[in-house]
This record gives sequence, C-alpha cells and structure tokens, in this order.
Amino acid sequence: MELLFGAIALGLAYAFLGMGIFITMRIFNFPDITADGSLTLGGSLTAALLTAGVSPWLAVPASMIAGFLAGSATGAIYTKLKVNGLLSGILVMTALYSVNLRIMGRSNTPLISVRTVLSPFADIADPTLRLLAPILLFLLLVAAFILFLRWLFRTDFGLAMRATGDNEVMIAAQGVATDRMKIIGIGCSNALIALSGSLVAQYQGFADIGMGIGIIVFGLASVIIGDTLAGLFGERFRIGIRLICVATGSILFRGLVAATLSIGLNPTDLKIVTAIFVLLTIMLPQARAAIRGRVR
Amino acid sequence: MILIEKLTRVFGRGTPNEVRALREVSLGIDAGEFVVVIGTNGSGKSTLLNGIAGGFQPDSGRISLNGIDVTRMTGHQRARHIGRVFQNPFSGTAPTMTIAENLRLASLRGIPKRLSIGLDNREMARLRERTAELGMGLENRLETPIGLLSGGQRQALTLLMATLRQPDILLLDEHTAALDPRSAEQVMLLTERMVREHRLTTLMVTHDMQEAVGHGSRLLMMHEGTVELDLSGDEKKRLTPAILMETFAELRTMRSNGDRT
Repeated sequence: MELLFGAIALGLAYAFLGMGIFITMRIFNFPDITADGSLTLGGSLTAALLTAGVSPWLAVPASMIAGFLAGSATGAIYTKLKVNGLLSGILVMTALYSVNLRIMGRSNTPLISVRTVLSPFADIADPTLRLLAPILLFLLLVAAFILFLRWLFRTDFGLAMRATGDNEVMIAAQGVATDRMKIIGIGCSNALIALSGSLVAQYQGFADIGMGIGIIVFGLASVIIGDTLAGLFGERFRIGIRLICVATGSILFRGLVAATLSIGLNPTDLKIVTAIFVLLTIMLPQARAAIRGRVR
Repeated sequence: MILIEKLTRVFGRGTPNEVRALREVSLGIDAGEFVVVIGTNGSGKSTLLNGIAGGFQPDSGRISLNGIDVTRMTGHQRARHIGRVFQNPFSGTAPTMTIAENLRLASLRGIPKRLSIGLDNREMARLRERTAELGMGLENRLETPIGLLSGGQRQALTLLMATLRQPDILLLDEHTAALDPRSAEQVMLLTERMVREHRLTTLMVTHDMQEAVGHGSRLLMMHEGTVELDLSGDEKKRLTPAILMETFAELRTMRSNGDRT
C-alpha cells in the first residue's frame, strides 16, 4: 500500500517533468535536455531556501523562475548564438551542475526538519490519510497546471507558440518573432521541470546533486506512454487531454519502477531498465506495423 | 505603392560560384496593380519576391512599402504589410492546428498575439463566413486539423489567410506549381476573385506561360537578374504565349551574343 501510494505521489510530482518535456518535444519540436540540470536546480534552490527559513510557498515559485531562466538560457544559446539545439541544452545542463552545487553549498541537503509544502500533513493521525494527503495536494497542482496550460495554448499567444513548433515559415509570415517564442517556450518547459524537482525534493525529504541525472529519459517515458494512451482514445490534437495522458503516463511509469524494485531489482540498475523500457515503447508501434505488414 | 530602387543581391560573392541574382533592379508598383513576373530558372524572379518579403538583406538598394522604408526590417517585422502564398502548399499552414486556429493567427498578422482567448464564438462565426467565400465547403470543417486537407485546399486557405487582413502587397510565389491541374485552376480562379474583390496589389511569380498571359494587369520578364520586359495596359492584353516564347528566345540569343562581344 505504502509503495503504491509512494509511486502515485512521485508520479504526480514527476508529471510536471513530463509536461515540460511534452512542451519542448511535442509542441516546439525541440530536443531539450536542459532537464537534467533544471530539475536539480528546482530541488537545490528549494532546499537552500527552505533551509534558510523561507516559506515553501515562496520557495516553489522561486524555483520555477530559476527553471524558466535556465530554459531561456538554452533557448537563447540555440536561437541567438545559433548553437545546435542538443548542444545548447548540454551546455546549460553542465553549467547548472556547478550552479546547483553553489546554491546548496554541498551535494546533499536533507529536508526532514524544515517546513515544506507537505509539513501540514505530518500531524494527520490516520496513517492512510497521511499517505493520501500529499497525493491529493499534488493532484490538485497537476490539475491546476493542466487547466492553465490548456488555457494558455488556446490564447492567441499560445496559438503562436504552437505554430512556431508546427510550421516556422507560416508563423514568421504572420509576424511572429520565432526566436523569442522558442526562448519563452523552452523557459516555460524548464519552469515546470524545476517545479517537478522542487516537489520531488520536498516529498523525498532531501535534495541531491545527482537527482537529475538521466531524468530526461524518465520525462520522455511519460510523454511516450502519454502519447500511446492518447492514441488509444484516438486523441492526437487536443492538448488538455494529451497533458492528462502525460501525467497518467508519469504515474504508470513510477508504478512500473516501484514494481521492478519490489521484485528485488537493484536500484542502481534502474537507469538501464528505464532506457530499455523507453526503447521498447518507441519500437513497439514500428514492430506492430512490421508484423501487420507481414501478415498481409 | 511599392518602390524598389536598385536592388542588388549576390550569392557566394568572391567565389567561383558567384551568382548575381538581382542586378540593380528598380521597380514601382502602383496600388491595385496585379503584376505577373515570369522568367527562367535563376532569372531572379523568386529572389525578387523573397527580397520584398524580407527573406534576406540586400547587398544594396532600397525597398519601401507605402512610403515606409522596410529595407532593414526582418521578414516578421514586415509581415503586417505583406500577405504571402508559397510554392509548397504545406508552407503556409500549421498542419497540427485546426483551420480556425490557422485563420485566427492570420487575422493577427503583424499585430501582437495576446494572452487572451481570441478564438471565441464571435470570431468563429466571422471566420466561418470568410471561409465560406472560398466555396469549398471548408466552413463546416473549421475544427479539422489543416494537415488532413489536400494540397489544393491548403493552398486556398493560405490564400484566404494572406488576405484576411488587407496586405499592402500580396506575394504569390509559383503558388499553383505544386498542385494538380484541376486544383491549380481552382486556386488561380480564386486568386483572380480575391485580388479583384479586395483590390489587392499583387506580385505573382510564375513559370507557366499560359498563367502569365491569362492573368494580371502587368507583366515583367526577368532574365539573369534584370527586368528585361515590362508590359502593361493594351500591350499586356495583346500578349499570347507564342509572342512570349519568341521574346524569351530573342532575349536569350541577344544575351549570349552580347556576352561574346
């Protein structure tokens, strides 16, 4: 039970990572790997602020702003300095490692004794309810952000953002500065990813300099599972529903991780299992098509 | 009024492959004129159009649209003045977005896209009305992603998008070349109608003699980066594909003889 609840809560916290990756990968068609650094940035800044006695309700938005800045740095390097997109992400991600260490002052900060967004729930007497409370809080946050993003991508500005990823020639002809759109878009994506890092750190009770390593693949996994789910419903275009699917994908993926660990797999093997799993999910549609083709 | 003064564009300057795509091209287009530009590959016709759209910064020369000097403006800064339809029917529309969303963005060409829902019921009704003008039944499919439509339908919509906000100039870059003959004819008829109804100042590049003869109020023939022939009025009306072919051939021999001496 505790394992399941833990998986759901973490899945919801990581749902923001999935949503962030969804924005860069699916909406802007940009392979952004700043995530490894910006997730840790969210975690480490939250840890530093909370340790300094700042209210968690200030620390969370501060982390998001930091994430936005990190993402827009990647966007600016990519668009203004004309550096390859992947390399732009790698550069910022690498730089953030030092930044994150500077922010925390050490490689691991425990958050057991400080006030977090989850502290109010610690006093709940009923053990099931105590486990359920963080899930409800995260669920509320995820729902709020999905509603916000759904609204955002239907505004005129949001339409221009989507068109930037969909057909740059077309939207430039409508007078949109696509460079600026990409910088803002990659910024928003990393704000969500930093939010994810902030919540994960508070839920786990610590921030660690290594918490973001390889995390991009986790985000990819939820986007891919989400797309598959959306495909099952025949939903390829409506963003709100696709985001719900991404969040569900994140929870399912965490469930899978918990299941793999509970059958006795070593946590250090988790990354290779994840990589193989993501590879399989990407290969699956191709394999299915190939088999179908052979049958015919 | 579009004024182009001594526009020059050289590709690969100083290399053995140097191409002088535009050589001091000067041109004035009056409001309401429908100019057809014809020429061989590499004559500079597409470069001229691209130069007006802001696809590159010219090596020298000036471009002004209705008295505003746009020479140093980027393409997206000029967008409020310019409606464009591209050769590739997929270039002008965003495929995963709906017809309505594409049209909404085109309605905002050159003006800021705000953080508010612009595509409300009233706007939908307005766009439905405008789409009905195409006479293709697309007004009932406004929620359809545009990528599911045919090339001809997408090109017709691109044309509509270019004219939703009255442009100072409409640029058509061989916009029927990639379509099947029937769609091409349909799009060309639609172009004629839109240009007439909205009194659009138009510059159309084509390599189709028939199209060049049958449309427009003025014809420019380009060759090796210069305008060699500029016909309007009765001269343009009397033009036949045969005369045009002849002029082309003459131009070519004259040039090559000239080069030798």
